[in-house]
Amino acid sequence: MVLDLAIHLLIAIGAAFVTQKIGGLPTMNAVKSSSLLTLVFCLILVLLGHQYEVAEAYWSALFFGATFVGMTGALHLKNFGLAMAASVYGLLFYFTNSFYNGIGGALGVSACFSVIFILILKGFFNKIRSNHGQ
Amino acid sequence: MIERFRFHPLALLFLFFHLLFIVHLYGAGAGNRVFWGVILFPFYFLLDWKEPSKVGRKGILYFVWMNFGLYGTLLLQGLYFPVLSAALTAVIFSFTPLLSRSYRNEFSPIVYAGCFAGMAAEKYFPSMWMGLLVSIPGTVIYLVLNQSAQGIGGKLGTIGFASLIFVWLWYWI
Repeated sequence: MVLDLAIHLLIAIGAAFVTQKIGGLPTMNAVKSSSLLTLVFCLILVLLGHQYEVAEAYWSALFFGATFVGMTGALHLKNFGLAMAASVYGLLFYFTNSFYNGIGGALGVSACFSVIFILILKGFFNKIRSNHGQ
Repeated sequence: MIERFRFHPLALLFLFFHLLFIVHLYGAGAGNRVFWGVILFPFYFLLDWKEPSKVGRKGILYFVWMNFGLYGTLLLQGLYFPVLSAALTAVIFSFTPLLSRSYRNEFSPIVYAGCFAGMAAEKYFPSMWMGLLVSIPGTVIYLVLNQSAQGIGGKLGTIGFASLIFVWLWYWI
């Protein structure tokens, strides 16, 4: 279970980071970055699926949702904050994906929860830090 | 991003969609623990909520492109798994040289929101006309929220989920 969870978190963090970095390039934007990276990841999974047994739909869903976390602007979350949001998303996906029941937008809502949760935490820590500074 | 606490109806709307998602998880058997997510809700009022910008007749174009994302994903789902069909539809729109870059940049978010809605399982779309029941509320919700919570990942996914509200209610009732 621990290894499984670690793989989920690694994929989520990696996907979120790469999406944000590529989305920040001059000719790119968040939508382009997220869709293109997901397409590439899906094609890799399809190719791997010819050789090995891979749950393409499952892993691509994890990656796709993590790219939504990466669509968060760098002004709001970057580096540590983004990694934390992606980790929260990875955990949420791990424990709740079997209950999505095929509803559209479930990955996006989970990603949104994760980002808002970390933004709130970040706001609190900033507040505490500024109070200490005074 | 985190601002002063102020009551805003759009925060309430956004919160309502997330509450529906929690209820959906509960209904699917996730148990009472999913209601812990409700703890976050009061903090939604700290986020950046803005009045929607007026789009006028352009609203029709948003509706058309929402349908493009929705039906593109639905049609491709017959060939591939949902994520691949959604990503492919979004890539086709975002990179097509047939449209100007500014046009693509303006409408790619709503195409993406349509793609998320189109990722829903086939059981939610017993008829292709059901897509219209999704894209009409979807476009309205997108236009209402387009200036708010900018830069928050998952906002488009939430809109995609919210656009399925009538289909979801139809299915559950």
